[in-house]
Amino acid sequence: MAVKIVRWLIFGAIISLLPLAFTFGDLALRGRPHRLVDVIGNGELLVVVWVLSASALGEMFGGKGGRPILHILAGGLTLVVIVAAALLFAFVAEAKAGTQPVNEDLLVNLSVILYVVSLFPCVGCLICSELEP
Amino acid sequence: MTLAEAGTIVIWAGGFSAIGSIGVIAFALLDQRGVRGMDVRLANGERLSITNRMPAEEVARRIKIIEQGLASFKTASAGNAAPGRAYAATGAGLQE
Repeated sequence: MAVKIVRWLIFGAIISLLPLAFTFGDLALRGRPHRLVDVIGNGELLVVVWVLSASALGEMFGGKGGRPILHILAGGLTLVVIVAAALLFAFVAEAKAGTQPVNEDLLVNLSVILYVVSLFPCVGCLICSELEP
Repeated sequence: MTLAEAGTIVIWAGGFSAIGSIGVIAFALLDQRGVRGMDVRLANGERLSITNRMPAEEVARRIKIIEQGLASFKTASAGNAAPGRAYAATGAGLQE
């Protein structure tokens, strides 16, 4: 169980941030503005959030099958995060397409909060996938 | 809907999800502390688990499957058949 969680944290949660880290480094090297807003100001981190959550949710299906109530709870809570991230991304994409003003600082804060918060239900899904019947 | 309103929804959803998940994780970890059993990998690739949480009938049914596999393994060994192709069950291992 611990191996699965650590593997997911390293190769899922950490590696998925690499493109954003590279973008940040690239902007810094070119001497352009490189605040967090410049890297994830369009909701890029939200995409990472729902992809990570969906992968953890998928990991739970086809697990050992113990404790179905916990499966439902963990899956449902992960789904809440996925829907929240998708809702926020849709809002931002729609606002930017319509050239409406978006409070990017608030968006960045929400993205980071949602990313950190999403780790909990994801770990819950991974643990549930290993529950013995 | 403004970004602030969407943000409020996201914060509530995220907080609800995180708190609930911590409960699920804690319960799952505590729940699994007393589970003991074994896994057997069958020749067809399926895995057969037996744990102390299962009903007695289910444990008996699974033990019977393993016994049948072991019996065919013995038969194959006695007849000098290729054990890698003939046996039905092997690789029994204890799992904490």
